[in-house]
Amino acid sequence: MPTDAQNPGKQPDIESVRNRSLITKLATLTRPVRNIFLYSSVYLAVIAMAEAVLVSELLALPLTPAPIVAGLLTFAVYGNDRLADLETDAKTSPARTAFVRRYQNGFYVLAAIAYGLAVALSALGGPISFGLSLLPGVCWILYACDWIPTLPSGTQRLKEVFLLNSTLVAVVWALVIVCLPITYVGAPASPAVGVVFLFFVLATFVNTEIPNVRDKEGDSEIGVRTLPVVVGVRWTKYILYGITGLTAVLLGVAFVANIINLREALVLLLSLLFLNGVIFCLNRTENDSALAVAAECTRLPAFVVVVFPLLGQ
Amino acid sequence: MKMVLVATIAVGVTGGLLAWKERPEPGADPLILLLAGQCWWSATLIFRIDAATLSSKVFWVDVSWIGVAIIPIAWLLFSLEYAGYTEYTARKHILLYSIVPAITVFLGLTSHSHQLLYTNSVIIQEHGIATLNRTPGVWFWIIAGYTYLLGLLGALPLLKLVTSQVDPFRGQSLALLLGLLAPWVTNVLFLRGSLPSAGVDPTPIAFAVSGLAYLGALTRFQLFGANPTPIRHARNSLFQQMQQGALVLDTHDHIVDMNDQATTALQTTPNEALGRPLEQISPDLSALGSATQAGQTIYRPQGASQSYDVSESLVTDIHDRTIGRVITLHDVSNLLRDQQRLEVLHRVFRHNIRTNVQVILGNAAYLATHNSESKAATLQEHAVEINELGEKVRSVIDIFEQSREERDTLSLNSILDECLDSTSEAYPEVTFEYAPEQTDFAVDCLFDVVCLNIIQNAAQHNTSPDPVVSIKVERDGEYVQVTVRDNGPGIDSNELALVEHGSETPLKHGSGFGLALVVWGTDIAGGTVDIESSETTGTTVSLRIPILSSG
Repeated sequence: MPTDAQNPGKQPDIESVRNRSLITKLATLTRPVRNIFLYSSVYLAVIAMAEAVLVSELLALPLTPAPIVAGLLTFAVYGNDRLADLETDAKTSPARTAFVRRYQNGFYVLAAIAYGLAVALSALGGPISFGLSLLPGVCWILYACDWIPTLPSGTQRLKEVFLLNSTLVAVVWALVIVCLPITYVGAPASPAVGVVFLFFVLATFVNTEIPNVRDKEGDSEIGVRTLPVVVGVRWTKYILYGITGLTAVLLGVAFVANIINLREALVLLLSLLFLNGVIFCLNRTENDSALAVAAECTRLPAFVVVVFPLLGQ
Repeated sequence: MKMVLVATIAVGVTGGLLAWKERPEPGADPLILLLAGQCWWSATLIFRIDAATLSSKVFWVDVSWIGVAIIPIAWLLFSLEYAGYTEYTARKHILLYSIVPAITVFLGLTSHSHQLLYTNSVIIQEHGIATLNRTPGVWFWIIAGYTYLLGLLGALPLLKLVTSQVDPFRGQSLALLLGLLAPWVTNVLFLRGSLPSAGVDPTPIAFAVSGLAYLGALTRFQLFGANPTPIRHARNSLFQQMQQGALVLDTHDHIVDMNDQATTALQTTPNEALGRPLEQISPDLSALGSATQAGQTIYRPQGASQSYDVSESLVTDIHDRTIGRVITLHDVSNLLRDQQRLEVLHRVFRHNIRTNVQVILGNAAYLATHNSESKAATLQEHAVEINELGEKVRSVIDIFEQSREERDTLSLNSILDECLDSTSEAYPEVTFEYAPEQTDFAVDCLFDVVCLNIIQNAAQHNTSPDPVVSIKVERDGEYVQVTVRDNGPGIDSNELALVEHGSETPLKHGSGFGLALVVWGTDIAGGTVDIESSETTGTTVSLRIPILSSG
């Protein structure tokens, strides 16, 4: 962008300079907050909490500390994942990596406290909640760490195993988001729980593969096999459309079979609609990072639709 | 109560994750295990409080033993690793420590079929709350005693560090002892029935204090950033790796410890020497006794060429009582050998100079009153001898200096070629026969001077009417043998004494430095020299030279 110094003949009007200065000041002031929110996985924790509240509402469960546990677990596990992948993420997410590297010691302590609090709070929900809260930690170790030194050389981290990586993430997070609110109140498993659980597994799988389109080059270089690396971006989009379509069919069948009601089906379909919008934008926009965030946020419209009317009651 | 237990779990998990980051620092793994056991115990207590029926309450007590039994082993391993006693943390030791806890877990999980852990379980109402009351069985007291025993054993290394000179170690060990003491005291009070805890063992709650103490040790006192683990190993390693030999004797002069260097010096083995009186192992060293205490003295083992400077220091306990002594043996063989060689050099130099000067003075006095060509030639000859003597002394000093430095390698063929060229030019009447080895060898550069002196001596002192010097080179394993044979009159027996007795015997008067250069230079360069001489067959000098590389 040319500066005023480069265009001495053109004098900017005072008002526009003042406005620009105000915007710059605001941007400068809010940048640290924005960085903390986006780069430290706080926004993922907030989304996880919203999703757990959404599940509680859809399944008509009383509100418990389960959403807080889900949020703390998300913050801790994603925070640790970002710390573990500092070297490899430097290519795909340089700004985030720089932020995490700068605050890595404090970041680890915060993540450890968050996980400690999550496990402790989950104990109040009974032994199954307690076990569920340990699951993401155990899976994170399996997923991201070469933690067993005696494994033969050439053994891959789960993160590097094609499809299993995204499937593991999807199943574990669906267990945390869907099952924690249920086990916390000791509610029985019902067919509706199964439908919501499958919805979250499939939607989270799609969510996991969307940033992989952005990370395709970096993942390919470090040998991580993801859908975009293996089948290319175009086929990845077709597969993701197929999964969201399959999810929509599942919701339709569940509605017809009277397992979920119309409100529940529409709310979840709304999420799928937004998710399809994000898939559509893949490879059509320069800002792939924003798309990854947008994909994570695709359940928020459903949360707004379900939870906001309750606030007025 | 439940919220306190929740806090205990939060502190335990957080502490465990912080310790996880410090792996593989000593103590990190056992600390993770300890905190995991504590969290499991606390969690099962919460589940037990929430359980409604007797059987479910009993179930959570029974499975809580998994965490309870891990804690003492983890504590002991943590303490041993942290304080550097890693020789007691091998797999076999861990298995040994785990026998009683493993039996306990088994008995806990099968408690419905025996009465070893608990003899009776009933629910009683206390302040309107249904609580489980179990009567301890025999094994309960065994595991309780065992837990206290391991707790005590783990505390001992830490108690030692409380008085450490290093500030962080004092802070760390105090924090860790506080962490041990809190659950210990709580458990004792619970077992005595002094705590109003409605039948619930509050020991894991006290572990919240432990957790905070451990976190304090982690953060405030850099538990894994600076720890005393290497101290013991460093001391042992220093003792083993020190250049001097060292013997530790008790008050009865029995050898209680010795390093490898001392074993070599005393020509013994640790199995043979340890536990036995020094007098039996080395009467010579033992006999030094009071002489050593008076200062320093030299010990020469029988049949060995080494010499040791012996010094002694007393070992005292905290009450300043002598509990033994340490004898150190400093190898001074090279120093003494160099000193002796310098003395020889000095004596021969003085003697030869004095002889030459006396001849010069006598001839000069004669020439002052007479005109004599022969006297003038004699005078000139002795002046040249003094000059040559100076050159030889300089060569010897050069060799001594080079013995302290890293030296270059030279090609043996080129050394011999150059020696032959210069000697044949100086002594054209001598016939040289040379049978070189086809393979060339790299040898120590000191052999340049050594070979030159051997070949020059063979030519210079050869008074045969048909003087011949033959040189032969043969490989002998890792060595190369250079044999120089002449048909001269042989070497004087006085000069041969230097070779026969090595560097220990002073040169007899009248000797030059040529032979000394050969013997000392060969010795410094790691070779050996053998001289056979007779008046009829001449002299054969055999040099055995280490090959540094061949090609």
